[in-house]
Amino acid sequence: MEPRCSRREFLALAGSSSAVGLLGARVRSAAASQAAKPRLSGTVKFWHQWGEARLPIMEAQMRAFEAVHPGVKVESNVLGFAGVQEKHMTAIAGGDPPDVIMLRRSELPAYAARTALMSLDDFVKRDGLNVDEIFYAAEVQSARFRGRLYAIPNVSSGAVYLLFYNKDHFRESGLEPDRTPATWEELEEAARKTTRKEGGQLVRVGCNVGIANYTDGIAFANWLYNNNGRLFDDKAERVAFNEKEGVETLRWMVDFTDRLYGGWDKIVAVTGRDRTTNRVAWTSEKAAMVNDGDWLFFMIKTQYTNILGRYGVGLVPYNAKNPHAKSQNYTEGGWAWAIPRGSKNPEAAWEWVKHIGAGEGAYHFFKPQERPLPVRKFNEDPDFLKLNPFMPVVRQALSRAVALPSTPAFPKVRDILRTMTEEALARKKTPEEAIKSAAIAAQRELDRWR
Amino acid sequence: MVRFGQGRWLDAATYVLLTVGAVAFLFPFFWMVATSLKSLPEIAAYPPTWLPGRPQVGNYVDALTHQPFGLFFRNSLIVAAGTILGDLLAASLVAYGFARFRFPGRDVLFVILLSTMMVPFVVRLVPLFVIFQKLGWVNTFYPLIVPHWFGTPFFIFLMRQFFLTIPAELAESARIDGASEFAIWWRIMLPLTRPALLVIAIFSFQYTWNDFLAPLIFLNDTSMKTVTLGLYSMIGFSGQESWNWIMAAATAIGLPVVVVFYLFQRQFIQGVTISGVKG
Amino acid sequence: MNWIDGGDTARVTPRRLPLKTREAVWGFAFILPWLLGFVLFSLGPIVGVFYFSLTEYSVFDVPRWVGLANYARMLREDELFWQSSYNTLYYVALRVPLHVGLGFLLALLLHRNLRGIGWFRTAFYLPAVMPIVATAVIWMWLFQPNVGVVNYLLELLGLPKILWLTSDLWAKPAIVLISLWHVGPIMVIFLAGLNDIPDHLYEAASIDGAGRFRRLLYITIPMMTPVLFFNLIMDVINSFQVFAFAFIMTQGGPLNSTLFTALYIYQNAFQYFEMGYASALSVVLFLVILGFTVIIVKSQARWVHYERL
Repeated sequence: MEPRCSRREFLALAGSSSAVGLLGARVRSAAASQAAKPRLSGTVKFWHQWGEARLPIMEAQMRAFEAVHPGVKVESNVLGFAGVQEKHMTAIAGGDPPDVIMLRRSELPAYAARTALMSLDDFVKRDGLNVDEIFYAAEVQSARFRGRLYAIPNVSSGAVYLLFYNKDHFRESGLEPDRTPATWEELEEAARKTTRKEGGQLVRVGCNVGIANYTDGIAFANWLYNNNGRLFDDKAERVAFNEKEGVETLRWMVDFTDRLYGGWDKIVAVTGRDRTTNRVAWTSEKAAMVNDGDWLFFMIKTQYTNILGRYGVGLVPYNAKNPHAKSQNYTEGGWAWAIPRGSKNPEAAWEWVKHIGAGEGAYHFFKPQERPLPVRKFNEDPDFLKLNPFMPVVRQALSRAVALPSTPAFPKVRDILRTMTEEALARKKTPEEAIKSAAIAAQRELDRWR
Repeated sequence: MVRFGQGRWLDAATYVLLTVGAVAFLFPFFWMVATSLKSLPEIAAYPPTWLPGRPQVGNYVDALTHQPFGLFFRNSLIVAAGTILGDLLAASLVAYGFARFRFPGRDVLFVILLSTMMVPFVVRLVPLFVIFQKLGWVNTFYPLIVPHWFGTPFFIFLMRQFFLTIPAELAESARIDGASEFAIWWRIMLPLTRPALLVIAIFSFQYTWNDFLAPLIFLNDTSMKTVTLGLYSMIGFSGQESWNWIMAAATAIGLPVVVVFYLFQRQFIQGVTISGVKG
Repeated sequence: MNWIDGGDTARVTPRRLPLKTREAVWGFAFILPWLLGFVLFSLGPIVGVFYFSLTEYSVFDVPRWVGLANYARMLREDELFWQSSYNTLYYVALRVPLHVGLGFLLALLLHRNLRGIGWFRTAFYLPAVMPIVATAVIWMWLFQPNVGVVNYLLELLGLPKILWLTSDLWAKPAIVLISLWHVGPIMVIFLAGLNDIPDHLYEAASIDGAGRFRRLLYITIPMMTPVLFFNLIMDVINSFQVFAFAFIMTQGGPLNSTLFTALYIYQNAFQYFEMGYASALSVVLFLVILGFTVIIVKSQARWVHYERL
């Protein structure tokens, strides 16, 4: 047992006001207390998705952790982003699971409901980790299921949507390059002005608001929350996206696409159907704006250097016609760290999760990426602000975000919403019809878990 | 003026059709290799360029090292070796039993064997997963290899056809000398069936090298991945943007089967032929 | 097995089994691996899939008996079941005739004894050896809507660009097209069948004054029906299992237009953790494939000619 030391470590961490001082203090305290605590040992089988440019950064955190815990070895296994859930599930079911996995919080209830994860409550209580204080409210809320905590947030879930725009495109179209469109009307105006056609062919689009095929988010749901709507009731027992805000939102997405581009097919030819291709359209300057997440900062820095210094970022525009609406994200798709049931080394696993999720490991993993994180304190670090001038916008997004009521039915509901959006955009159904049939199907899925 | 007969015209038409068809069939290979040697800007360019300006051989190094493809090749080879060995032994053993011995229910069993060729893998997927999960074999090579040690129906069939062509008298003298049936199979029959064994080895290799669904389900750790899984995860990794890398990896993992096909074309064709016609 | 023990009774030990029994024992011994494998990996799983289809099972718990609930849900509630069934039938209906037809056509062309024909045979067979994942990524790249070379070629020909895999209208035909790239094996089987047709039939027909077309119609095609029958059955069975292309290239989209049954089974089993429901889908797929196979087998009396030569 080593609660005392860990708590002290953490208090040292959270108590300091400046991150720089804090880090020094933590390392010292950790080193000093090493002798006093029963040593952790063994291997932590660690599965994550941080490959390519982020891998060395993650590996540095692993080595740093091992230096503090000399008996422990963190063994990294990088998965691709495709098929993560299947790999977790077959590994956990197969009886030889990794000790730490990286999962989407929106999928967490589906894992937890099948008892595939260990609850972290005992660890948190023992170590006196005040998760509600450390993380933004929505971030930690989305790591819970039926009142129990199953994960520690990794990336921020509330910044999965931000509006990135190309300042040059704004400038040449007579738009103010330092002013982000704040409302749906301003977005449409900006999109109209930045769209370019050559010989009747779209060569640049202003903004595709109709991306349906998100792997880690649903455009419809995002716009819905920016129209003061919601997907479910608070207990995730009844669907709520079929209320008037939902119909209004889907109708707006369809009308926007038709008015500006003459149909979904036309814009798909430029941006593709999913988030990845839409992002590439923006980075290759075939789109003026893109609704993308906070990972893009690092991607621009390492991959899409042509955009570097030429872009602005704002909150996702909201529907100003709805008096209750404001810019507001919902949590979906943000990754989190969890310990699978059947982990052979849960003690060391927890220590590593704490380090990489809430401790200095998180700080050092995100800082080089200039990427905001769910830990409040770190985001307020002035160093960070210097690195990433868009930090205030992201902080705003994070503190405004609302947590999605958790339900194990989510993966299926997400697929239903995706189909619904595509049906409406492709004019296979009217928005009303599409929502109606989606609501029936989604309600059925929710009912399975009541 | 040369007068073409009807046959000449037909020959010419055949050549034209075949040439157009062959170009269409081979074009994807050309495009794969050409893309694998292009730079990123060349890939994004439209209209596309036919050939890379300066061939980027380094793409192969990058593509094959940014994930541990060396390890994937090793894994695929291990699985292939285990599978081929199992297929050869089991197919030969079982086929010999069906071809050379009379026992009650033999013909019915053989029909059952043939019909299992038609049971889709995907239908058996869930129970197979449960079986291997209960055995604790998930994330090992066993689920990929062990079933082959019990015989693959198609190979058993192929082998049996071959045994039927070998005169039974060859075993006589050995039998009179008191050799056991097993020894006869091992010492006399097996060497005689070398051509058929080669066909099986080639097919077994192609099958296991190319297999996707079974590795996808049964292997988890990166260190256990086969080449096809490695290629698959590249799509997820690179966000489908580094097409030059993806094509380099596709070329690299396709090469072994293409080479094997080239070296053993005759056996290849033979194997396919037996499956269809004599069936 | 027909050696005779020459009446040398002294050598027959009492414990020796009768000849016939001995032979049977050896026979069973030799086929034992397959028998075990059959029970473990074919029969067992088939029985298992029927059993699981009557349960709710997430593999993390024990299966819970639910009777026919999975089937009721499938037939009454699940639109995606119908959608995936439609997609699969569409794929089978479009792909099987094209695949078998193309294979036959190529075999006819390649059967002709022309110079360099071996090269052509290699060219048409080669794609079939490529791993399915490699095939999928190659064609994803060829079919890119923006910078893809296929659309570029269409443009050169003055044709409109096609969204291919990103269009719900074109995704299925695109996958069929890609699957035709692997026509090699079926083509080779046809070729072998053509080789087996005795020359004297053609000679006799020529003497009777039959032209090429009539010879094709009255000799080649009837003589080839057994091969056609075999290819048809195998192709139907294989086509019903279409999985990897959709899994890799489209994940079932756009608009679920490439959500094939096998993919839907996989999703339910390994993405939604619903092994029981996935098993029910598997049972239906199994029965449908079995049904089609039986129909084709039953139909053979009408059109397959087993000539005795």
